[in-house]
Amino acid sequence: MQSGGFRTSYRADERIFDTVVPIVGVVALIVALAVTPRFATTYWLDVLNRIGIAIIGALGLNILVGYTGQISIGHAAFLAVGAYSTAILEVNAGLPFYLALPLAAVITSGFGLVFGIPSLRLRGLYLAIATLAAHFITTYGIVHWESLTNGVLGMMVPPATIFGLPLDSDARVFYLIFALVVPATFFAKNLFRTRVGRAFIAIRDRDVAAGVMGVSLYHYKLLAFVLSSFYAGLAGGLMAHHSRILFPDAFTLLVAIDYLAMIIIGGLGSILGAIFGAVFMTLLPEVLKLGATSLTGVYPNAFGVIASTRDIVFGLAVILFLMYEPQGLARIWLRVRGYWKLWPYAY
Amino acid sequence: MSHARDLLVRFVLVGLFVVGLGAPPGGAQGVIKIGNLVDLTGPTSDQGKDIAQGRIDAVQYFNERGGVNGRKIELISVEYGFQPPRAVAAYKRFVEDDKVVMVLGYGTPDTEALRPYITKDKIPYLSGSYSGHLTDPRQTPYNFPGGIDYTSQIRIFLNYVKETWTDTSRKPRVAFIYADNAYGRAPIEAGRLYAKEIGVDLVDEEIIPTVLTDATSQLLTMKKKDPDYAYINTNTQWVPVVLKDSYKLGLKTKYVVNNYGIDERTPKLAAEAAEGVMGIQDVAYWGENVPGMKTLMDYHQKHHPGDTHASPYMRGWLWVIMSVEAIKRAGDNPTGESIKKGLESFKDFDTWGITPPFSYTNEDHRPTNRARLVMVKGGKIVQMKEVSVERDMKWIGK
Repeated sequence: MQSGGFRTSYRADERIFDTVVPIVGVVALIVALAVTPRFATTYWLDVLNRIGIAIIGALGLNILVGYTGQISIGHAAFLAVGAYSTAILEVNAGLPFYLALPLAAVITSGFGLVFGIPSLRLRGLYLAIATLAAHFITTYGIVHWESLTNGVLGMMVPPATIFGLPLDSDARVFYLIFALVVPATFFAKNLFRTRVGRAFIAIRDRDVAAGVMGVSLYHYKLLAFVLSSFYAGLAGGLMAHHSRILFPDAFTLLVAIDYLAMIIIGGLGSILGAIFGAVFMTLLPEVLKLGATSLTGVYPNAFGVIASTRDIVFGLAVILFLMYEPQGLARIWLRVRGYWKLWPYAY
Repeated sequence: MSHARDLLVRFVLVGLFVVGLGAPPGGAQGVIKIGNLVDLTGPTSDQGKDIAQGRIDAVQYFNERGGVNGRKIELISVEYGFQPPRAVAAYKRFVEDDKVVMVLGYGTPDTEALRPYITKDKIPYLSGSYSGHLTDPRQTPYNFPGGIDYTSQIRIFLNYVKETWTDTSRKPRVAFIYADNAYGRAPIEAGRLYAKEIGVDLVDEEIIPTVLTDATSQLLTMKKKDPDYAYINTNTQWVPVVLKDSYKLGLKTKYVVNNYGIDERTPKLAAEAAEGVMGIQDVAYWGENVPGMKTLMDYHQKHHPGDTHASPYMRGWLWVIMSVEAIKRAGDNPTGESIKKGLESFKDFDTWGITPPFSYTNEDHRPTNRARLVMVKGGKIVQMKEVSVERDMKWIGK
C-alpha cells in the first residue's frame, strides 16, 4: 500500500491535480458558480463580479511580480487602458463587444510592452518608480484627452451584446466574467509548467544566472509585461462592462497598491494565491461595511467609524501577513489542507 | 508554526462573527426603506461625515415619533468614497435587493452618471448634488437636487458682480476656479453664457485637482489676467488651499465661494487668508437662530452631548425632513411615482427654516431661487444679505 506521494516520472511530477479529490472540488466549484445567479442577490452578484475581475487582474500582476520578479505599480494604468480601450472601441468605433474586448487586451499588451522596456535596465525599486511614471502618464492622458475619454466627466458604456442578448444585468455579466476567469486561471496555471514560465521563474530567482543559462532576458522580461498587461486589459474591459461607467478616478494609484496587496496577502508566485488575495481584498471592505450597516441600529455612529477603519484593517492585514506568513493565504491553505489530509492520524 | 494556525483560526472566527452580524434583519414588515449614499473617506468627506450623521439622527428622530404614516423608516447606508462606479453598485443594491422607495444621493459625478438608471427605475433621487443638469423634469423626472442649483448660484455671483460694479470705464473682470470633476464643472458652461449675456468679462478659468494641495501655479496664471472677482467651486476642505496661496501671492482678487465651499469652518481653516472672502449660503449654520434649530439641537445634545457639527449636518436633516414629508403626502403605499408626486406638490414648503421655503413642480426641479450672501469678517462668518435670482426657464437643465 502506498503511504505517500511517490512520483516515478516527470509527467507525474508536473501534474496539476495529484488525486481525484481536487478535480472533483474544482468541477464542483465551477458548477456551484454556474448556478449562483439563481440564488444570489444583486448585491452579492456585484461582489462576485468584482472578485472575478480582481482575480484576472491579480493573476496578471502575479505573473509579472510574483513569478518574474519585476515590481510594477503601474497595474492600475494597465487596467485603465483596458477599460477605456474597450469602451472607446465599442462607443466610438462601433465594434461589437466580443471583438472589442480581446482587441483592448491586445492594445493593453502593447502598452505593457512599451512600459516594460525600462525593466531591461532597471531592477527592484528603480523599476517600481519607472512603472509609477507609466501610471501618471496614463492617467494624465485619460483625464486630458477629452475628445476620446470624456475626461473627468466619465464615459458611459452600453451593455455588451452577445448573439443579440444584452448583458445588462449582473447575472449575465457574471457568466461573462466567469467564462473568462476559468480559462485565464488555467492558462496561468499551465504557463508555469512550460518553458516560458520556467524562464520567468529563473529570471525572478536570479536574472544574471538565467541569462547565463541561455534565457533571453530581453524577450522574457518583455513577454512577462505583455502577458501581465494582457490580463490587466481583460480585467479592465470587464470592469467597463460591469460598472458601465468609466471615470479616471476609478484607476488611482491606490488601485495598483490594492492589487499588490492582493498578491502579497494571497501569496506571491502562486496562482491560488492570486485567487485568494483577490477574494480576500474584495470581501474585506464588504464585510466591514455589512457589519457597520447592521450595527447602525444599535450604535448609530458605527457606520462612520467602521467605514474609516477599512484602510487601517488593510494595512494591518498586510503587516501581519508579511510578519507571520510571507507566503500568504495560499500557504496557509496548503498547510490546513495538509493537516486535514492526515487527520486524525497526524504525527 | 502553531502561531500562524492560531491566527488563522482567529481570522475565521472574527470573519464568521462579522458575517453573522451582517445578515439582514429579516421580516421587518412595514418598514419604509430609503437608500443612503455618502462619502466618508473620499475627497468630499468634509461634507459626508456630517451629512451622514445628520441623516441618521433625523431618521431616528422621526422614528421615535412614530415614523411616517405609522411606519418606521430604515436607512440603508453605503459609503462610496466619491467613486462613481461604487455608487452605481450601491444604487443597484438599493433598488434590486433592498427595494427602497427612494434614495438620498450624494455627489454630482455619481448622480449625473446614474440619471438613466434613475429615470428607468422611477426611483426619486434626492441628491446632495445641486447640479443644474438635474433640474429639468423633462429629462430627469426623478432627480431632485436638495438645494439651490449651482447654475442659479453662479448667476447670483455674476449678478452680484454686475450690481456692485461702479467703475464705468470698463466691464468687471471675473475668473472661475473649479475642481476637476463633474461637480466643479457643473455650472461652468452656464456661467460662461450668463457672463456674456449680462456683460461681465470672463477673463480666466483655472482648473484645480479634486484633492488640492497647492494652487500656486493656477493662481500665478490667474494673477496675470487680473480678475476683479473669482468664483470658487470646490469643497470646504480645499478652498482654504486656494485662499492661503492667494494670500501668500498677494492677489487683489475678491473671492466668492459656492455653497459647498464655504461654511462656519472656513475662518478657522483659512485664518487671515479668509478675511473678506464671500460665499453663498444655502442652509442654516450650526446653531443659527431659525425656527427648527432648537428642536434639532436639543435632540442632538440628548444623543451626542458635547459633539458639534457644521452646516452639512443641517443638510442631512433637511433631506430627511423633505423625504418624510414627501412620503407622508404619498399616502399609505408609497411608490416611486407617488413620492415623486409628493415632492412635486411642495409649494413654499417650510424646511424648519433651515433653508428658504422649497417648491418643486413637475416643470421645474429647482427647489428655490433664494440664498444668502455671507462674508468672513474678523475671523467670523457673517451674513450680508438675502439674494435671489430670477427663476428663468431658460437656465433649467443647464
